[in-house]
Amino acid sequence: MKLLPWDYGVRNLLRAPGRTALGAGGVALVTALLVTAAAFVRGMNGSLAETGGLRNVILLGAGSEDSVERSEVKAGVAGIVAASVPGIEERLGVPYVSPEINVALVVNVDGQERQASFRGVTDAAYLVHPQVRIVEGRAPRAGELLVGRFAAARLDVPDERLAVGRSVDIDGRPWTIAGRFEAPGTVLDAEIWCDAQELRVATRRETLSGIVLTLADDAQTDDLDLFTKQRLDLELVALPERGYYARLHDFLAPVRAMVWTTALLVAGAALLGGIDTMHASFAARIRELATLRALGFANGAIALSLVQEALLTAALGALVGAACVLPLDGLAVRVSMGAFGLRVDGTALALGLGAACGVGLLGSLPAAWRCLRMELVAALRAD
Amino acid sequence: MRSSPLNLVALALALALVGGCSESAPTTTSETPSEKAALPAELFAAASLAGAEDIGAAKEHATVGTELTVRGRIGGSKEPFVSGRAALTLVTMEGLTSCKDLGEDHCPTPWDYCCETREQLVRNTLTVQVTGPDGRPLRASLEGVHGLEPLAVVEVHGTVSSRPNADVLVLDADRIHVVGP
Repeated sequence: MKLLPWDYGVRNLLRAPGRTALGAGGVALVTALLVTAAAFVRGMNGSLAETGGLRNVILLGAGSEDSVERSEVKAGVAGIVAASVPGIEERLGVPYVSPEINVALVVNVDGQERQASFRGVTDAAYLVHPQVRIVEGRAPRAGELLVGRFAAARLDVPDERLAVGRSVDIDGRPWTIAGRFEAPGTVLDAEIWCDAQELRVATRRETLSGIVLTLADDAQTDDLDLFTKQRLDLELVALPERGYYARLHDFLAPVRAMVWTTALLVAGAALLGGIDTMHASFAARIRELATLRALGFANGAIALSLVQEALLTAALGALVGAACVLPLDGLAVRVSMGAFGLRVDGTALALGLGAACGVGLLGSLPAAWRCLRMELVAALRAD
Repeated sequence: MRSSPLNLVALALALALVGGCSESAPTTTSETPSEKAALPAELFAAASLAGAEDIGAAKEHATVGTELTVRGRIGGSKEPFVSGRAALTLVTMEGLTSCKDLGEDHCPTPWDYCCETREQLVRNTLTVQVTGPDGRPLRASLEGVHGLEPLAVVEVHGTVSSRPNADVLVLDADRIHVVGP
């Protein structure tokens, strides 16, 4: 089959620049939307998947496996665990055992009450959560806070409102921000940390929420499970930290489904619009296409050239759309459970670009078929 | 071959689309497989063990080092067996009722005794483990072995190895008789 020259399809794009720009603009919108949807889902999934350390185990109160905020663990248990369980990671004799309090508290920011996720910690928290890096200020002391980089988004206040040195009120008492931290790609990013003992006093509770510990390379979670069965009086249950956050991931499945459904509906509408636009575009060139057939080019070769034009238009739109959403990478998104950053990565871009090419291909083929099936003589006489 | 700048732009578009989507391969980690230990051949007894007492009664007097024979049901939590370790929890057969005893068919884990208070459950539960020469539980699961399953009634003879307080009793088993489901 004799093909049309590559130049022919490329030059045709500039014969009607307005039409090309319109088509590319539509595809750019679809690409931008799909990449954003993928970045949202991947950001949410990633923050939950990467929060738990691979060798971290979380001890919760028996019966509270689904929510660390509902869990209650007796205050002295962390010491018993550190002394009893073999295979806990240590550094300079300090075991990687972090007693923690997780609680949602109402914070008063400039007279407005907002809910925030607090984590009461000790120094051991920085051992078991190595993703956490203090980027400004220092670790909090009594009456001080350490805020995550997405904490402001979680509170729905400007980032500078949680600058080091400023303060917020909790239960009528001012707390000063002593530092800021980041824990990229994890839900910790949206948390506010403070001293565990201070938080216990502030929340008038006697118990911990849980204990996070890191196992040494050769240790196994089974030893923790065994410990919880040997010390039934402590009423504990051991979960791999990643397993705990995987449960939260399942809990958010409807949100992800809603995002994908919206994106796919828009993409479907764009596909139908694309077919219509392509048909109008090709229909205006029926006599030109018929001339090519009269010159001896097969229908397949002409269709291939039309698909080439459509794909180049789609590619142009896809790249523009992808370029438009690239700056969204890392942008904080506030959800009920906290906040996370959009993740515009290779997979999200590939999805958007692939879908754009799909729109180009699927949009052009039916239009090309409808234009090329006409009788040659009738097509040559068409207006 | 004749090529125009327009052609080059189009080719660049196509190449950017194809080449711009690569992503570094994710790093994976693998768990170290643990060597599994075999359970002692004489562990499971065909005949009933003489002098088996209830768990609540045994907890009244047992001290570390004493030999004990108890009778109870496997249960006390959603997962009464320790995965990868020869250990399980045993609940009294007197005074506590599981959802199965209540005729509740909809409870997916009737062996967790969810209708009982935690205090009652802890007071009437003990831990059974099969240890190796190092005194630590063997790296083998008891679940499914010789009919050991949740809510199965078993008699266990062994030595009390841990008694840190009145609520905790760990029994190192040397003989187990599975009475039945």
